[in-house]
Amino acid sequence: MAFGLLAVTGVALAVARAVIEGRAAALGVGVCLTEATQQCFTGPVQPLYAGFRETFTMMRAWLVVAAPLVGVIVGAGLLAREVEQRTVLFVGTQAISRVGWWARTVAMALVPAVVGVLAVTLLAGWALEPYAVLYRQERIGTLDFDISGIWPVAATVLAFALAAAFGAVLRSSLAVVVATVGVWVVLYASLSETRYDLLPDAVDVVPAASYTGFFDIDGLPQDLVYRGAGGEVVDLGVVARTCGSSGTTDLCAGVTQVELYYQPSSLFWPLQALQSAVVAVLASGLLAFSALRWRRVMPGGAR
Amino acid sequence: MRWSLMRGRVGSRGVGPVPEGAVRFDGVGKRFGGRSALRDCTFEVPRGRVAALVGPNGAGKTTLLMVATGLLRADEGRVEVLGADPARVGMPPGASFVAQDKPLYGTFRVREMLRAAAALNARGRWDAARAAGLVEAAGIGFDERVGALSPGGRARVALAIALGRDPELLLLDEPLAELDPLARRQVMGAVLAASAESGTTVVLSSHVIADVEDACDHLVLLGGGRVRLDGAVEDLLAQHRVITGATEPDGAVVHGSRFGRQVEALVRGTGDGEPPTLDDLVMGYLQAEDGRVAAAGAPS
Repeated sequence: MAFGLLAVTGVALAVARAVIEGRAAALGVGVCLTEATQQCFTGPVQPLYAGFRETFTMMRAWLVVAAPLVGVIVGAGLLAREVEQRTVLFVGTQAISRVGWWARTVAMALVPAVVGVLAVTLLAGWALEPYAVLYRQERIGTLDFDISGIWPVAATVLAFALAAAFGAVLRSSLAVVVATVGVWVVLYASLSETRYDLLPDAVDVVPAASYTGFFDIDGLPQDLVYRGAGGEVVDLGVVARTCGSSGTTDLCAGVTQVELYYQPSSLFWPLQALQSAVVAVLASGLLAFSALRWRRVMPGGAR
Repeated sequence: MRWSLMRGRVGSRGVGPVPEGAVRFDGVGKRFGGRSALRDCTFEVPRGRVAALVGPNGAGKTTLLMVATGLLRADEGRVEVLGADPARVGMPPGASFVAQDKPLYGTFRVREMLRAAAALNARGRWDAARAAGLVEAAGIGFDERVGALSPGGRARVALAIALGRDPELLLLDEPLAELDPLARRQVMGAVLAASAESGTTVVLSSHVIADVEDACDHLVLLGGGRVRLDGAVEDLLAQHRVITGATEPDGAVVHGSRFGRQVEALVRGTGDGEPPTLDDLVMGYLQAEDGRVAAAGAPS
């Protein structure tokens, strides 16, 4: 089932790329898929821009879910099913130690899952590249971060480890799935919430006189700060009430410069490594628990 | 005659002194919560025998076999299987076990199931040719899915895997349950052939004495978690008599029933009376409380 999901996802990604390229070619704006300029958002190109935004969002959302879902599916039935189907009585009476059987079973399940997720991640990078250009998405942004780099593999491993741990405690595959999904959601929310606090922000400072309301940065905006002449922070609410929508903050409410704090795109790989390392430690602990627990609860086995 | 031939093969494996008993229980007890599944079980199955582990449903047969294989640990007493303690070594090397429901991977093809068994037994003994030969002899296709096999076919595959381990001891939990008469004959035939060819000790459990009485030369009778009777079938039958008369017989009455003015009793001892059938013996000991004669239809 897990590999069926990956296969269908792969096909859908390839089709998605073919469709958007075909549409862009028909409109004569293929260049917008390799280098998006201002002209790519207006005029005859508008149908291209408007027509695929929802598709892009849905595909990314699915990819965020797919990687851990593969881990859950592969891991949930690993141990609990042996108890459910009583094949634990077969395995426990063969010439293999309990931990040896556990290690072999985990490896045979996890390695193909990781390879499959990695393949789909690489395919997604290729398939969604035109979309990312058109919609000016940064890899470091939420959603895009979760479907790029090594994080999908880490997500798969964590979900698998959670399922393996629950499988060694709960005797029902269904209960394992429910428990794993519940804990996964909490963990994912925590990791996403703290992700951009792990490494320091970069800051782009623009004098109020030349501030146009836009920043030209390569990264993910985190915070916007208005400062006065003495370096003091001017409250955003004051700026909004005093300055209105005049388009300039030059000396408005005493603002002399505008600072945009952002996570630069260059932090993509360091953040991927950091977050994946946290997950690797968690997953190792969960897998160790699973092995120790299985050694206690699985009957028999060569000692 | 058959068990005499098997005795000739006892000790044919390995070198050095060989423990007499293949399976030895000494004062073994096992509890599940507040319920005793086994109580003070003491018996020994000599090597080379085909032993029937007989008793009604709930007598403790499955529990006893699972303790012998290391799947469960005894709470009391001492267990020795092929000279090893299953609580310490797990499944004793040289032993094979087939559980009652023949647990195999239903989505596997037979070929894949044999391959999995070979991988799981890579560190022990595994005779791939023997296992495959047994499957072939049963007329089972290697590409058939295990889950799609009949109960008899599944039993034959499970038995083939068990015998593929080239065991000195074969433990079978209700091997004939859910099998039609033809499948029963085929499974018993395969078991007895293995025993005759290799001197393999067999312990097979059943709650139907008729299924095993022709094949077994050793009996272990379980009732209420206790061993009621243990010994060579020939000896046990020779040691008992069924006596019918107007009065209660003298001697060690195992169990008796009164039918009007007639008394029929199973008595321990030789002399008068008819030799019992194995069924008489088993039923007598299962119903025995204190050896008193009861009226027919009344609790003994």
